Amino acid sequence: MKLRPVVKAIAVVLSLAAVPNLFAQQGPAPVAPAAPAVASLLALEGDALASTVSGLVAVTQGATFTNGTRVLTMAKSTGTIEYTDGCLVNLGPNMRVEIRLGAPCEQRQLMAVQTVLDPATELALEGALETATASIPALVLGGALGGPAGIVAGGAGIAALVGTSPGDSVSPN
Amino acid sequence: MPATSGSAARLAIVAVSLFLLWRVFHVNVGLYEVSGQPRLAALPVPAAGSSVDSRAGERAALGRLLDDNPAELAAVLMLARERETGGDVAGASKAYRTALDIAPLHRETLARASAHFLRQGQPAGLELLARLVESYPAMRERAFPVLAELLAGSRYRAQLSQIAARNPAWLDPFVAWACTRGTDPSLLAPLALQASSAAAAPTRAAACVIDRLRISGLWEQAYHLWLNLVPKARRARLGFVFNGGFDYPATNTGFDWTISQDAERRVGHTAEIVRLPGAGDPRALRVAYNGARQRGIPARQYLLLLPGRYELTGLARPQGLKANRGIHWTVRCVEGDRIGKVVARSERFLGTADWQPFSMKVEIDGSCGGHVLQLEPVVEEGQIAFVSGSAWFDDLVLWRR
Repeated sequence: MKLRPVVKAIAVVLSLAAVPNLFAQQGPAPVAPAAPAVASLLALEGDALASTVSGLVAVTQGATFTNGTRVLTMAKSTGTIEYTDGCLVNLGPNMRVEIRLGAPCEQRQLMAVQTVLDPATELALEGALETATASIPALVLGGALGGPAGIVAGGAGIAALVGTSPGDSVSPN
Repeated sequence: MPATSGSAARLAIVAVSLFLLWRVFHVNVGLYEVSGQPRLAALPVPAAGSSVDSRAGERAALGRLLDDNPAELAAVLMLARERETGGDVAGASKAYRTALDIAPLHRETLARASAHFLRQGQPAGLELLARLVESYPAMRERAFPVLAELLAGSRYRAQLSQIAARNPAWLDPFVAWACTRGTDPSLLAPLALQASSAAAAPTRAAACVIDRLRISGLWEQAYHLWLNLVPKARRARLGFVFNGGFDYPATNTGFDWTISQDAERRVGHTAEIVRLPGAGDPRALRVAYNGARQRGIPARQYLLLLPGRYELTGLARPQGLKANRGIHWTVRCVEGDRIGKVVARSERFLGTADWQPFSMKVEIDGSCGGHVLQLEPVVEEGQIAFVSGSAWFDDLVLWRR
């Protein structure tokens, strides 16, 4: 069980390596008469864009895509790509995916990449939490806000610190 | 006896009044300074290497202070610190919580309590730090380095994201501060997104993060972040060249047009998006050259293009344009913050003509980190150019072929 985040991270890295490093703006229009639609956008919440011959355009739920189309979701947006072969690819916020009917379904799912990471996703990719950052407040906050020496118990030290706070009234009046 | 009970009542009222008067006087004159800060009773100042006896004495004095006025904030803070240095972390936490109950927005209380809880690895520490910078903007300079360190580590990142979701007033200044001081722009991107969510255009902080991502070679992240900050109505049809019809003012950020804002006397030209006569409020780019030596670029836009063949089409109207070899549009390679070799160039524009279509082939071979489309004089690299007259451009569209 402990290996799962690592395996996931490796899988995502491999999927990143398998697709071009840039997204979107290539491929045929979402609905191109010359090429058959192989996927459609379902359950869209929020905003999504798809590539056309002249760049990205906004798409709505039910839009159909040909092979090679890139689909992007915006922040706070989610949706599902449904392929004609039944493969489903879930899209979270700020994700990009390229429509690839020929690839195995699992690979297609891994090709959905989040470009602007949210911290929770990033933590999952890192696989483990760092050790405590306990020293940071001691070194930075303590030093910046008066320093441990200034906070040593003693009336004069406290009085000096409190005295540096003009205008911070805590009077019950 | 009614007269006696009336006197007793009056006496009681006078006594209560006197007590209240004394309490008001005592609190305002005795317990607090004119500044509103609590006045401390004189305590023995600990010498370096205080003995056990002297520390016990300090503790006893603290106890007396708190017995006298349990709500004396400074004494509670002192007690908290005393307990923490003595190894009684739980006791210290309890004392800091008491201090926060007494004065939830007091600067030093927030600062010390947040430092204490962060040292213990407790989420309350970050929440208090956020409250500190929210309530005291003057503390941002001291608190932002801590926030940047916490962002760089992973322990508090998710919590910081939750706080950022509230879009506090300090968030955008923090992103701007951290962006210019080397914090990983990938970490700042979600915060920049949140901080700019209520703005009509990318904030300066968000623009900084987009630039840093692009300069770091993270073009896709930069582009996706910028996309999120483009008003929804303008995302309907973005194009490879954004706002190629110059229908909207340039924001000079991200992957929008950067129109030169430099003084004409310094760069030799002025560039602006202007209204054209006609129905539908048409607009175009106009660049006026003053005949002097040309410095800088009047108009440029970074492009995110996958390898392949493209064609740029547009309309041009030169008006009395005089230059040795004219002006033209180029697509250049970009690596980091360096604009490099020409990948494609348009025809040259010279003289006077009515609106005329033009096109240029653009082949992207994937050898560049990114690309930029820019208007520049036709000149050998490193040579100087003098240009006069004006040039108008409209309807720039890049097509994949």
